[in-house]
Amino acid sequence: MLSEPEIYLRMKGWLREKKWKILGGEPPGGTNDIPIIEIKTSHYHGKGSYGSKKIDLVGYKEGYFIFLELKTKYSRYDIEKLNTITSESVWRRAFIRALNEKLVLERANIILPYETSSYVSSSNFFIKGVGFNYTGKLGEKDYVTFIPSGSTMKPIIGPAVKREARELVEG
Amino acid sequence: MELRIFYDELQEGEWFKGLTREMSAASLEPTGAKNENLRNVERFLRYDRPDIILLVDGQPKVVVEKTSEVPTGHNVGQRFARIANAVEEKVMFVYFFPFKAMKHGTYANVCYVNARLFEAFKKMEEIHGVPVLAINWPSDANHELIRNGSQDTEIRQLVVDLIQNRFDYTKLNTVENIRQKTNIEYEERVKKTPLYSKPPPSVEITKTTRYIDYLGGRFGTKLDMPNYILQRDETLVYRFNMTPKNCRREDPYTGTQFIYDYIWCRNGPSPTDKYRNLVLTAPLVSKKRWLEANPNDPARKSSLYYATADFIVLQDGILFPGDAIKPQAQSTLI
Repeated sequence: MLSEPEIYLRMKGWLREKKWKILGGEPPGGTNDIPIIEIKTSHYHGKGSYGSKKIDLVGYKEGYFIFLELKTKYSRYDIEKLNTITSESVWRRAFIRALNEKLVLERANIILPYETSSYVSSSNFFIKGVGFNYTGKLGEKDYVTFIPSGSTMKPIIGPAVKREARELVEG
Repeated sequence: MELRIFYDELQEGEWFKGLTREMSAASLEPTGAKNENLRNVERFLRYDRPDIILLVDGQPKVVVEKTSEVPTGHNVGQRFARIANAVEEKVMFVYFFPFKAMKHGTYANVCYVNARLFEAFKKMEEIHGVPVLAINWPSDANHELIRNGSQDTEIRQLVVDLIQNRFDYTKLNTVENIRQKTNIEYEERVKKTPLYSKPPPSVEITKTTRYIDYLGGRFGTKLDMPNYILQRDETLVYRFNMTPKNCRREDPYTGTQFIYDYIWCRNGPSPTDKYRNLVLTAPLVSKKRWLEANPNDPARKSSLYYATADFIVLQDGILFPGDAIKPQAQSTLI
């Protein structure tokens, strides 16, 4: 069974290999070479990280973002977290704002092909992914589940993942 | 030359190993839990866990800490105990962090390093005779941290030079160049924030006799203080505004006490080598509550409260380090 840092590093390797741009994330511990993207909604006015959400890895490819939560084993909490961030416009808006604050897209030379409002109003451009050691469980139907395979991660695409997203993950 | 990298987190170990091809043959091994390591690794876990410990032919040569957080506000002392541990072991410490960077969110602003950190490094070098090097993680014109690989240029050069000189840092210009840059940054920070050259509001330096008298009056008894305390003319009192409810915490206090210790109290390599007493005080917290929350348990970071301070003044009495070894221990002094 791989540890969480091992899964995290393999997932980064998979993203790079498949030509996704890694925009940010938070390693399970310690410091990384990518920015932490901390999403705070406008309901939240406090100091510090309380009430905010951080995604383990955020990738980008051809107008689509992939959100990845990584653990050693299946976590219901991770599924609920990504469902919230992608399904509620307030969180999608907060995500775009977090990218803008840190100039993440600019620094990665990314110009979004669609209007920013499209990313706020619709969840179409967000792919949800979870990664963990395989114990028989997978993410929900609209998730891509990554499981360790050899020295990389193998995606298992849920039946409800949309065609464009499926093509990007398979590509 | 056999190189063994011990890491706290895998991605940090890989980062360090990937800095230069001279490191490519190095082994990458996780630092184990306390008391589960080689002696030459265990030596650096006395206070805390550093990111990287590099053994060269079995001997520790450099300890490294990397963070993307600017050491300012509450962050300033967070990693300081592990630095103190390394230099007490006479091993060079390299701290790679941003001297300035943009902080985001509601209180977005550019954050600058607290200059007291550099002053403490200087004192550590004088006292222990090993380099304590601060290397800047640079930021761009918007004060965003650079993350394209070029941020590692300076630390990479240092590591290459160290390997090529078999870790004899006394021969390296790189080390002196890094010190000079730190000095320039220190001067600049103090010029912009002169308060950094003085103790912060949470610190008071007072005459020892006056302070001991005050404590005697406060607790209604004549205190039987050890001679070494009375012989030091002055006492530095570092005050924590903790309440009984929120007193179970270590950061930033445990690390920050070391900063103040080095800058204003220490004159020798052992924590007992002081020309000025170092006293911690949490006046709202009782001894019982303090010991419940912050025991001198080596398995917990709270043991650092007893690592360098001479004593701790609480709401209803005083604790000396030896009084707090077990949570149920009671001080006999008052």
